Amino acid sequence: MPEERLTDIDSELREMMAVEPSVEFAARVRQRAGAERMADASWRPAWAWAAAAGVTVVVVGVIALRPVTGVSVPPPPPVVAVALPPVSPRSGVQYLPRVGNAGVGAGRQAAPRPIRKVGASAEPEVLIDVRQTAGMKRLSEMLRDGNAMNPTEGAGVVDLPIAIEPLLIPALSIESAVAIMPPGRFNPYDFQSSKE
Amino acid sequence: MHDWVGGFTGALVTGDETLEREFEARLRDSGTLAFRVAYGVLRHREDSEDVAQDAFARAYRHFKALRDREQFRSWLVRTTWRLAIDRWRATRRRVAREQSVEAPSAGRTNEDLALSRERAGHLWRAIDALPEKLRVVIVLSAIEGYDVREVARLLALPEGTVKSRLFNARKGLAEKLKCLKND
Repeated sequence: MPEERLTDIDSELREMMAVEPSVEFAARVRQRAGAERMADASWRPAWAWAAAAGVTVVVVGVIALRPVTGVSVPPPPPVVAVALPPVSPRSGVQYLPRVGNAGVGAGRQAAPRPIRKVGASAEPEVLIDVRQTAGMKRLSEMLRDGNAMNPTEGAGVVDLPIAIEPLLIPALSIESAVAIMPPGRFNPYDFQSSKE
Repeated sequence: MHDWVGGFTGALVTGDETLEREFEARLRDSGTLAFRVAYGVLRHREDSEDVAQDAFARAYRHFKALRDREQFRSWLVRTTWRLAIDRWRATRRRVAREQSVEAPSAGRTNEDLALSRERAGHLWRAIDALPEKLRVVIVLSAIEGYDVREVARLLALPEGTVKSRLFNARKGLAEKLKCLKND
C-alpha cells in the first residue's frame, strides 16, 4: 500500500475531526451539572426517609416473627406402651426364655408391617424390633399357659445360667440375743443378777 | 459546639467549592475532546454535544473518584465513546448526518467543495465499516494533539497494541475507499 495514500487518509481524517463545539456547549454542561447537584441534594432526604422506613419495617418484622418463649416448647416424646395379654403372676420362675429365630410364629411376625399414615387423632406408632415383639408375645403366652417352667419346650429356648438360691435366715430366740449382748450392760433377761 | 458545626459546615462548603473548581477545570480541559470523540461516531453537532453533556453529567456524579486529570480524561473518553456508539446504533441517522459545512475559501471552487464532501462521505462510511476496536483508535488518533502514546493512555492499552490497530485500521480504510471509489 503506498505510504502517500495512508498519509492522505490521515490528513483528511484530521481535517474532518477538526470541529469545535458550539459556544453554548460549556454553559449547557454547567447547567446540567447544576441540575445534577440539585437532584442529588433533593434525593438525599428521600433516600434517608426510605432507609429509615426500611429499617423500621425490618425491626417490626423481626419482632413480630420472633418466637415467644414458652409457647413453642417442643412436645414431649410419645410414651411407648406395649399392650400385652393379661398374665397371671407366678412365683418361682427360675428360667427366662430367650427367643430364637425359630420361635412360634416368628416367621409370620417377621414380615414387615405395612406403613399406615397416622392422623392427628391416631396414637403414635411405636416401632419395635420384630424379634423383640415375638419374644414378648411368646413369653406372655408361656406365662399364661404355665409352660415357662419347662425350658425344653420349643426350639431355640436355652437355659440361662442364673440359679437363684433360697435365702436362709436363722431363727431368732432370746438366748441368742443375750449371747450377743455386750457385758456390763443392763440385761432385762438376766433375772439372776438383778435379784442380787 | 457551634464553632465545631460551623467549622464542619465550612469544610464541607470548602470541599464542595474545591470540587466545583476542579470540575470546571476538567470541563475547560476536556470539553472539546469529549465533543470530538462523539462527533467521530455521530458526525452530527447537536447529537455530539448531547452525548458529551451526558458524559460530563455522569463524570460529575462520580467526580470524587475521578479527580485525577489523566484518570478523568480516560474515563470521559471511554464513556463518551460508549454513549455515542449507543446513540449511533439506536438512531442510525445516517442520512441526516451533518456534512462538514465549509465556506468556499480562496482558491477553492464549489466543485472542489463538492468533491471534498463526497470524499469525506466515503471516508466516514469506510470508518463506520471498521470493527469497533479499530474504529476508536483511528478516530482518537485523528483528533489533533493525540498521538499513539496519548491514545494508548486514553484507552488504557499498550502502545504496541495501538500501533498495530492503527495500522490495520488505515489498511482497512484504504481498501474500503478503493472499493467505494470503484463503485
